[in-house]
Amino acid sequence: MKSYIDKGVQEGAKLVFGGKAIPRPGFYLEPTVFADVKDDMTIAREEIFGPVQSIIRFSDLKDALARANNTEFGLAAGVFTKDIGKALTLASELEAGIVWVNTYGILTPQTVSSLSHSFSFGPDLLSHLSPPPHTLQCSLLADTSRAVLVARMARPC
Amino acid sequence: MAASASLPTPPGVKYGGPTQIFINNKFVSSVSGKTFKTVNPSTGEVIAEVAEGDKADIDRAVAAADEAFSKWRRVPGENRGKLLTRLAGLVEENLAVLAEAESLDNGMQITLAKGNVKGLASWLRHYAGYADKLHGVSSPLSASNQLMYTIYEPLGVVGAIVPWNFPLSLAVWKLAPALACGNTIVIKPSEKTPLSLLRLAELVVKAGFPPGVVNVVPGYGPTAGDALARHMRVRKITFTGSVTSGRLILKAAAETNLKKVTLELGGKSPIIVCDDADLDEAAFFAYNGLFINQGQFCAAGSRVFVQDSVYDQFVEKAVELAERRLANVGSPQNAVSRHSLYPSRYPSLPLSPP
Repeated sequence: MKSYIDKGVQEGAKLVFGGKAIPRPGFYLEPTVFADVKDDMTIAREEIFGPVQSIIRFSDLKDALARANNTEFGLAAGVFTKDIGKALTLASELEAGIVWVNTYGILTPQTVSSLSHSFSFGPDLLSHLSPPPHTLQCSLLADTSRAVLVARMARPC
Repeated sequence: MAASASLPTPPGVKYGGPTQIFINNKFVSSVSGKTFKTVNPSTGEVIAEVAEGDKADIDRAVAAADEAFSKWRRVPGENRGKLLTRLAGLVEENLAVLAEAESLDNGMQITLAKGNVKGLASWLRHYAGYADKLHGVSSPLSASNQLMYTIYEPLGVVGAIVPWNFPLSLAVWKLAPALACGNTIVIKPSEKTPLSLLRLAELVVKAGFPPGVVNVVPGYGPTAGDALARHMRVRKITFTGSVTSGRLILKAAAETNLKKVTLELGGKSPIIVCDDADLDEAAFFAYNGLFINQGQFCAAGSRVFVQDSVYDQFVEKAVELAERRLANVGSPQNAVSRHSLYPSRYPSLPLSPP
């Protein structure tokens, strides 16, 4: 964990909060935030599986979409916007098993997602009743108090 | 009253939940007699000695599940659904003990653990509802004297290997649909977090599931996990965890009976924050979507793309939220703490979920 934080600093990301172990019994690390993270840095490419947030800058939305999709993993994604056009476009173009719009992390039995797009294998038990195996089911879920969008789609695999 | 006082096991009292292998609705020692220690990551203290299953125990568990399958597959869907519904009720009634086991073993905040356990009842009821609605289709053929129809059949024994980050949730996501469809299951929890699943096993008995339908074998990846992935009577293996272990499982399946494989592996999930977004909201969800369970979350939003014109503002908000989190660092069993252990304690072993 610590080596990821060191690499972040070495590779030029700006450590804006945390980064140190917390001196108390047990195994604690400060919540850590990196700004000015670039796509090719280790902390932006590898799964850290710890409390390390990487904030990356973009100017053009199309470019951001391509960069967001430029990963070997394709599990989940989030979009924050008040523009329903942007929300719908990004939600359908992001290569992820589930896309959350103006919310993040909601997983209930009714969300109908296999939580997998790439770097996973086979239909999940979760979606044993899903469409035929030649399709890939993606879920789009939005909190309607913030945006009006609830949709679901299947795309060819 | 201190928040932790509401836990079933007060500080200083020996953990009272089951610690043995669960086969045929009974808790038994491992064939080898070996045990391993499970540690509370927020203190480094040993919680309990747990029976260590390996190949011999997996063989016993699969044999039990295989035998149970011949009858379980004939149990009407309505009755399978009833049992799952009963289990959902028991999960709700036993929320405190389940959440405690999860929090002690994993370091998960008790409030998050309780929320997850509550959610499990929904998942169980959801799949209970499917149990009597698994029907196929009929198709009119050209010849008038022919009848064609399809049916859904259960596969048989399903093997499940579950990681340590959300042990109960991930186990139930695998168990509930498998049982609803008429399969039996052998679950290997992570050696880091076996306790909550053994608690759930107690409830499986109480709910009235026949012996052998659900089996839980705590153990290590390279021994118990590998044996499950290679077992010739296991018809499907489902795994959530690291990419490295996922590859090994797929290989194990390929080298044995070509069992069906489901893998849910790593993530580096993006969040895109456009300049027209509600920034407070975006910052909060991005924060929560990463720091929940200390970032030990497969779908953690670990790449936050923020548009130029609001970038600095967003970073400020992210830092504020992290500061607030750090101010509430504390024991995971204390309901007010927000931030607890980090996972450097947990090196990944091959075939051991991350």
